[in-house]
Amino acid sequence: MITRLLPLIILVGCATSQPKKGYDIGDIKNDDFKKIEKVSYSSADDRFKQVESDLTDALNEESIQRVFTYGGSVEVKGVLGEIGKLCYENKFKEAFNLVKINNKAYNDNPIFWTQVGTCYLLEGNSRKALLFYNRALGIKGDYAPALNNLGVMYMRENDFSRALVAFERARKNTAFGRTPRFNLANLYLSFGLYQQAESHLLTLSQVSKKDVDVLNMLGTSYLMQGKADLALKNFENIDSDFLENPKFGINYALALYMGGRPDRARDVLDDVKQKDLRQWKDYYKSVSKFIGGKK
Amino acid sequence: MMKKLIIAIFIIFISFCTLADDVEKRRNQIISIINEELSEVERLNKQTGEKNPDLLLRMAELNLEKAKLYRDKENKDFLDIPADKRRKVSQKSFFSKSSSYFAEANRIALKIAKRFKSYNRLGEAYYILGFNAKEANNSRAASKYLSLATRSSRDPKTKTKTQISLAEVYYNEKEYAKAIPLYEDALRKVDDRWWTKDSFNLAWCYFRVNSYSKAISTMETIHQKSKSSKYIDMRSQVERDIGLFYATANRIDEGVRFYKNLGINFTSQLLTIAISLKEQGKYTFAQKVLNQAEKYEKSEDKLILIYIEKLVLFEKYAKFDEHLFVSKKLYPLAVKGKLSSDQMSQYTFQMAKVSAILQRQVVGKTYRRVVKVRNKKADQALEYFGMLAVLDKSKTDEYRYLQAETAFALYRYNRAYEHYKDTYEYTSKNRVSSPFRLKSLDAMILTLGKFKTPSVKENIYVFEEYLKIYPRGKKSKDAYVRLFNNYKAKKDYKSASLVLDRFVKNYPNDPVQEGMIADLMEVSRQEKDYTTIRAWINDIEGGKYKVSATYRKKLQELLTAIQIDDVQGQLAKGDKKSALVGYLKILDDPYATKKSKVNAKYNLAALYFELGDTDATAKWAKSALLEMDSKDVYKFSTSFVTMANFLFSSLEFKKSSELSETLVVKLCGRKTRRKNTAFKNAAFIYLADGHVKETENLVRLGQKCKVPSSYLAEVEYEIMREYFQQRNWNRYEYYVLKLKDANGVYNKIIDDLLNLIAVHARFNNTDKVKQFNSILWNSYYRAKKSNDTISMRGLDYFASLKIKNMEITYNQLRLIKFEFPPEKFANLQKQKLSLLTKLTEQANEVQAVGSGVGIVNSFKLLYEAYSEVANEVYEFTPTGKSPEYIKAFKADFNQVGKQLEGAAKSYQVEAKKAIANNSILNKNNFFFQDGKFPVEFHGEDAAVLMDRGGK
Repeated sequence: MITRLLPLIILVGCATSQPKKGYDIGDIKNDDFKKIEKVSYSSADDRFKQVESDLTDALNEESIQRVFTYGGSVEVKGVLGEIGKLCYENKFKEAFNLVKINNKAYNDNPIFWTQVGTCYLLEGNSRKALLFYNRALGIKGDYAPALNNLGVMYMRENDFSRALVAFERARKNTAFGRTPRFNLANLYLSFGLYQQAESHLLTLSQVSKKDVDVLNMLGTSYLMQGKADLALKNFENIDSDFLENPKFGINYALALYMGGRPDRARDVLDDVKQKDLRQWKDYYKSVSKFIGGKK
Repeated sequence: MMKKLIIAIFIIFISFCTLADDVEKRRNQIISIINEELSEVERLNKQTGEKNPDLLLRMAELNLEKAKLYRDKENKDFLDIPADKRRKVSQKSFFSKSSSYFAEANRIALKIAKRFKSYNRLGEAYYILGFNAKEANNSRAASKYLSLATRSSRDPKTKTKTQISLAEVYYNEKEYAKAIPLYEDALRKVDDRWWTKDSFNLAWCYFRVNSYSKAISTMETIHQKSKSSKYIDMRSQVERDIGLFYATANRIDEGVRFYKNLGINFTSQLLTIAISLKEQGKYTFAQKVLNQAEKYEKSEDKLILIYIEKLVLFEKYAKFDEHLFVSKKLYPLAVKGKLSSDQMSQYTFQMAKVSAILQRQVVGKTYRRVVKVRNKKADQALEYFGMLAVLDKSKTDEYRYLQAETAFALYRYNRAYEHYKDTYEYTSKNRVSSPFRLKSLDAMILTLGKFKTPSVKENIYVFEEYLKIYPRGKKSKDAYVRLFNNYKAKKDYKSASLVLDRFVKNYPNDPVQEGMIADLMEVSRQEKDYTTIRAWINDIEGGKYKVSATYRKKLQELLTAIQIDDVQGQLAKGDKKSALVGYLKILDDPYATKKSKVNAKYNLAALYFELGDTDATAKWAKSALLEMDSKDVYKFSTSFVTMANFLFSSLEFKKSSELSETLVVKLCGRKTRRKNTAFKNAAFIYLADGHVKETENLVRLGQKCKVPSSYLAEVEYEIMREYFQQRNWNRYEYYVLKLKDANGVYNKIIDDLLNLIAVHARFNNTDKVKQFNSILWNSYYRAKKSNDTISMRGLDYFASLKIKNMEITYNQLRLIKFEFPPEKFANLQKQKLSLLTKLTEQANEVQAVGSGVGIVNSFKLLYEAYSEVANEVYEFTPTGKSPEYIKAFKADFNQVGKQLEGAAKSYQVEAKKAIANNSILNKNNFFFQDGKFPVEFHGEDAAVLMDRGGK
């Protein structure tokens, strides 16, 4: 998969390149004590404006995680964007340096601390992630990104019930709540609750026609209902590059089979990358068996 | 020469004795003659039967003459008796003889007046009565009879005599106006030798009625006539009194001429007159005469006499203004030594007396409310004391002191002070042993205390003098302090310091020195004279001065304050860099107190915090915390929490935790939420940063510091979870066991018990599995009973155990296969249906657990069981029976199958409903899809992170 990332870094003027440590007394000036101008929360800062990625367009205003996974371009503005970008690129040291430099300015900004929490989550330290998400929630008690990401964290810990609650809270605390809806749909669908998933997916599909995950989940939802035709309509809008991914390919193959195209179904299933199967492994086998797959 | 003088005195004495004997003889001869005549007249009177008033009148006259003669003798004898014996003599008996003749003369004269009312010499009888009454000092009777005598006297001689007698009576009675016409009339008619004497009385009468011209001219006539032997010589009396008349009549020039002609000094005369007048109580006249004398006197000696006389006069009549006026005139003469010692004594006596009176009046109550008068009197007293101080050398100290006292009594403190000081300085120089020296010193202290505006200079003077005399007296302690304070007020700190040293020398252990030191140190502090302050502190530490432990502590605080003062000032001015450098210097200063160092460290932490320097913030904050006392730590705890938060925000997790932990240590003994918050922050950040051991140590600290058990349990739960993540089963088990009964977490432990059971099962530790199973169920029942939350996983587990029962039943059901003969079939059918019923009941039990997984799985089993049995029913064909039988059997039995199939479907519907309604997250949900093939989705790892809130 190609990562089409065209970052445009615009750093905040007051930020220096290194965190302040070990001052030489001689170098200190009274100006250094001047209060750092705080960057408080602004709803204008709380959405991405320059993300270009059709594959992920359902969430482009809120989430850039899939842009870095699926490829796309994102114009990163300011420290907040830069930290996020670095973390999604796994450049945690650089990201944390930025955090250390800018933490005072963004001390009261929940976007910043959510971003820090995400960095730690991406780094694999969910305890630290939890501390910073909680810090964001301490500043803005209903801050949806922090709530949503707690849900993501719970998902990773297989604590689905708590994840469900977190996503629901996140959804309720945003006007549109695309990401929480996305995650709710994903969660519901992962446990066969297609009806619940469908309502969120239909909402998302209204703002997105090309989001591969939305198309995939909507197709799967239809498939669970036995509506192979509708399922195929959605699956077929997915970029073919994604069909190697078990998440996309297996159910597309099943839909093709149920839609009366067994050969194509078997071909698609055959193209699914075996090394990526993981939790799909058993299902892949049963589908393969069902449609008479080659492997 | 001496011999001649003695002979002369002897001759005079002999002459006097001879003269006295002659008078006595002559008196006796006269009395003898009178007696002879009286005897003859009495005889004739008897013969005539007392009807001849002439004889009676002669008898009265003779008795009267006799009475006069005896009275002269008795008077002489009486005066010859020594005074002390004379007082004891009865006058009545002593004068009895003369009195008896007076009485006889009176008796006869009265008889005449009664019996012979038309007697032509009745006036003479009345004269006798009047004269007698006059002699007896019965002026009323005298004037009555003498008036009758004057009126009824036909004899001009008698008339004149009675007029003069009556005039004398009036004169004595001070009825001068009545006396004057009698004298004038009588003296016009006679010109005997008594004329001068009677005219002298007339002149005084004129004087008394202010007819000064007549008085003077009468006097001049008397003086002139007295030169003649024909008249009684009244010149000396005239010369004595006429001066007064001239003076009173303001005709001093004439008086001067009068006396000059006589060769007499007029002013001396006037003086004499004045003295005389004064002695007579004639103050006004005396003053007038003295004034005239003073006016005309040129000689200083005489003037001195006049002045002194005036002083006596004014003193006597309490004319103090005039007294002072004269005293002041006399003063320069006295200073020049013009006064004799007697005069000086008189003068100083006068002034002392009057000044004493005045001072008594000043300090007394009488004039307290009459301020003007009182002030005037005080001023006068002050002037007297001032003059006396100069003139009366023996009492100079006393009079100086009295001046001060008088001024003090009048609240004139400045003046009083000056006089006290004058007294003190005079006595110190001239009379050290004078009692007024120390008195005035004491009084100076007292007086200075009364000043409206304290005089630092004088205070210093007085207390220095006082302490010279009493370096260690009763009041000296106070004097040292006051002297010290005055030097301080004068900003003469060097002298103040010397006073302190003198005080310490005399009172080495007295706590008062502490206050003085404090004052001087405060001065140094304000001047930022740290060197001096350090010197003070060194002296105190070296034992030169004794101060209390509390003060010693305060000194340390002062030193701290000083050290910090400058830096704080820079901070206040916004010069934070200089402040920072200043605090660092304090830390390098070997003299800096512990407290100032702690303060510096705290402020350094705060400044580095502002700079955003995490290392330095952490270093100084921790260092300050460690050295601060608990009280200060509590006071600044919010700041430390902020710094710890800053470190956390700066991703300096360990530093943040350590700072919070140190805060817990320092707040250990206090019951405060700040301690608990710091504990929790430290613990969660330690854990997040992977410092499990440190977290465990922190928990031990929390226990020691009485952090609430709920906080401890919460942290221990997280430690336990961390060990689970680390797969450290020993520690994990340790904490599970530790927390299994802990309130608030015991129910959460259920998941961990399941983990342990799984782990031990994997390693075949059956005992452990058993042990943890037992704990698990206890926890389950406790949670159920207490309505405490059980995790979904826990519920799923408990449901799964019950599902196992269902599975057993289900398997039993599957083992039963339909077969004939019919009796057997009926029995098997019964068994199957019974097992289905049992399965349904078991499903209810599973669902009662509340596990979504349990619900779905139980429905799944029910669906499968009912569907399977239904299929069996459909598929079963009895063997060895006719087709009709089989057809009929199948028709009946299929009905059963349909019912079973219907039941299976209804379970499927219920399952779907339950899943949808409860959002049950169970992978078995896929089973209940309508399609031919259960479509699955595995997006557990596909949840998406949200970076922005969006629209």
